[in-house]
Amino acid sequence: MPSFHTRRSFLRTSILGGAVAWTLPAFIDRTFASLNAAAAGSAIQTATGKDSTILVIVQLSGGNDGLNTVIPYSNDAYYRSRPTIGVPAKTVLKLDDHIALNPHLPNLARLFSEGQATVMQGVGYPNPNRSHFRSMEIWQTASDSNKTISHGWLGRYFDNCCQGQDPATGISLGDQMPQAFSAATPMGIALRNPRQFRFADSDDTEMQSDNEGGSIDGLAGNTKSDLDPFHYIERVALDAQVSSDRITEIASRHRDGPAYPKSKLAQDLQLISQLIAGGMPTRVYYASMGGFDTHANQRGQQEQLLGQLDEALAAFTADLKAQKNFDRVVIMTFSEFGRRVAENGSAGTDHGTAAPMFLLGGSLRPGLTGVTPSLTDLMEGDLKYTVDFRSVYATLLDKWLHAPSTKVLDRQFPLLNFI
Amino acid sequence: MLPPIDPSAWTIDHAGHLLSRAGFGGPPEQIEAFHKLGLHGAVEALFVGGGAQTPPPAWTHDASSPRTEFNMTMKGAMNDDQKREAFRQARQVERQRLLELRSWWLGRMREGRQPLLEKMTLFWHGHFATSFTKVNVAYFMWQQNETLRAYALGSFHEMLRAMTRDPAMIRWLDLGKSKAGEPNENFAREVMELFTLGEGHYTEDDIKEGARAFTGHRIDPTTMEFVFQRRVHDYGDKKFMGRTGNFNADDIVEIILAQNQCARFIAQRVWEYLAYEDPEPAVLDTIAATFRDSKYETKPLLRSIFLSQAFYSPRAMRTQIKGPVDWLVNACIALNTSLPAQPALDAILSRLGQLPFEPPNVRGWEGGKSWISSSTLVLRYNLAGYLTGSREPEARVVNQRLRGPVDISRVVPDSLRSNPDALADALVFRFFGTPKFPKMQQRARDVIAQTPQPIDDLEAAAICQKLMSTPDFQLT
Repeated sequence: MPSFHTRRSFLRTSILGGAVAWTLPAFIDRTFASLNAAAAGSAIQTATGKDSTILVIVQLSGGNDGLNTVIPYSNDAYYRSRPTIGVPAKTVLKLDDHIALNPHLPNLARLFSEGQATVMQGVGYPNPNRSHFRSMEIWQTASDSNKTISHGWLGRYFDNCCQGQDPATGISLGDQMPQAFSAATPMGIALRNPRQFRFADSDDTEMQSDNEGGSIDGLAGNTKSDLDPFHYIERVALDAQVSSDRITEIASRHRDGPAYPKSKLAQDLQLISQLIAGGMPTRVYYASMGGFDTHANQRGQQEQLLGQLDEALAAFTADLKAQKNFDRVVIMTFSEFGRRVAENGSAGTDHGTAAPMFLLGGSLRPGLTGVTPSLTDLMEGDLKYTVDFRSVYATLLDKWLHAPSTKVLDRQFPLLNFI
Repeated sequence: MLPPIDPSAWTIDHAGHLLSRAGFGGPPEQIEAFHKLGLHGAVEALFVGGGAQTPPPAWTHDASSPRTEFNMTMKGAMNDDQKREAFRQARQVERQRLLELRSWWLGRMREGRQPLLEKMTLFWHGHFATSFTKVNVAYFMWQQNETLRAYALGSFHEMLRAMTRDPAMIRWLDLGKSKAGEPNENFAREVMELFTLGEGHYTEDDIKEGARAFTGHRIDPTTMEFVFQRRVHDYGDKKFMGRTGNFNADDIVEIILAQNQCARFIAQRVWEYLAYEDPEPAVLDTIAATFRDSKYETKPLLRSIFLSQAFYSPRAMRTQIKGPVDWLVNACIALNTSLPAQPALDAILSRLGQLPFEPPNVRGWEGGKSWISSSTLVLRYNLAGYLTGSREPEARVVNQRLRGPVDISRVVPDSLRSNPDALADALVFRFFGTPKFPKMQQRARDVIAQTPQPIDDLEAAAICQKLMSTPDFQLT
């Protein structure tokens, strides 16, 4: 007799059934009802499902060059520092008399003019670190640059504000969990492709080639958890089981909607939109794209990536609007650092500091905000930051996710008014 | 020297542990033979070569191989369409070669003629993590792999010098674009941050000055080999780590290796790869001293680790999460089957999160808990079904034929199928590398008790799959 007849029976047998007695002993009796009952007792917020706010984070790995993304086109110092790679003023997409977007971001420029985008300038942190890994860790854990925190800022949000809730409160697209999700108790689902969550038909053996050419592609960061390896695996198995049937089902049901570009980011955002449309209780989605480490021959490389980002975000925002969900979504982009003001000898740029962030959504206070960093008053050749990224996080936590930011970030950062 | 373990306390449990950490594990009979060598005999056996290896793909012997991608740059009279076509074809050839390269290397691990050598080559690959996705030349990736293997159990000093001249590395970290007056910092930064000292043990000025010293290390466009180009080297004085001089790349390597921190940094990484994370300060002090005193020879360091009490302590035993390469090679060894053929091999490794020759970034793979997410864990459990063949009847798996044949009667012998206790013990030894693991033995008994008698091959495969779809099988 065959052991399993369907995908579902396989999942039950391997994760729940045959193996269940010893892979997931205590958890299995805790149904959704009991999980949600536990959440109902939590004073902070239990909002999940159709009506609550959602945060979508797009990580740009490798250090996106902020000055060629949001361009100070009226400033001679910009062109003096970048004789080869400076973007000519006549081609840029102007936001005002001084600041413009890269010509490869036409859709973001349109969203800006339609009042659905905030461009936050000069975002960074004190004592900047120019290592990809360390700086990404700082952004993902929201730590001071001279301190190490093992849990991520979203992991601490899960730990503090979402205990007892569905493990799919956070969903990360990709096989690895970003360190931002690291929590005392693992919370969150990593998912590359809903097909991976089903009984492996493996009819897709084609290779993935995601790297666009930089030596920094993925920057998932370390997965940290207080559980020992055995119990960590046991817990992940439970979380996967609890979510897998629903996710596959939703993803297969919500297939209509606008066409998306072929890039990995666009495909990831399409899946996110399907999950939102399907009513997943998820509050935080996390997607990323790599290749921004442009030490050499930057112009073409970065602009190709920006074009991909722009097209992916255009399809995603249009889709959310059609679903009437754009008002309850905020999309935030970030990178671990910007790049040096002056170009290097390889028509590229080396690691730098502060950079702009984009925030998109139907309920934002839109516009160009933050203080443009000076191009002449520099610190070791780099921009001085004007907005601490943790103020952006605190604003998103307090005003968007309605979670107390001081509890998550350990102190009060000034709140901003983009929401 | 770390406090050594008493050779008379050497158990078969220890033998299984050593074989799985210093290699990729082994079937019960191999663990038994390894145990019989005694502690010192077993440790020394790890350093001995084991006869003929599968040769690398034929194109590695062809001196014109690295030219594939570059032939298109010699395009001459080609028009744009022809150039694009030539470029596409070259990429295809390189991709195909990469598949062959991966099969070859994983094959060496699976054959197990010198498991420690391959295990450490994998370590150094993760350490000097270089990816084909930017290098784009399979020949360079193979060359680097052989260089890492040549020094894997030998001199770290020589390996580091070789990496400053390695064509794959030169392309990967933009050394070829660095020149006097316009140094590119990418390589210099990663040398200090990731390859030798660790973050916080150098200054931004050290990076800028170091980058000047590395100028001139390039790939000769005609021979496609390393060349030192005098005309782009910066011959000026550099101030590096408190010293001033007309330093070149080798000088920088010497100055870095003179720092105690370098021995400490490397010794810690080796320890964490083989034993456990965050070693006690006393352990770290000792192995760092061993490494430094041996002038960065790797063998004495490995020997002292494998002979130490700490390596066999509860902190070490069965606490490490297997990486995907480790997991797959170990599963195929336990199932007595060959590795999946291409392209299934690549598809599996890619989705599990560890494609050799394509690390995610220059820091290599994070390892530890980051190997396991809901996505990869579901996949591991599913793959156990694929590898054991327990899903045969309903499988619509295109890859099916690409999987090695499993002779389940060698894994679950007929003679044991009617004897649940003996079968449980045999399977636990096979899948967990030890004959004594009471928790799993009890669970294997439970699984067998739920299986209808008599146990046919399909049921036997399902039993194996259930033992592999457990947290314990993800650990070593």
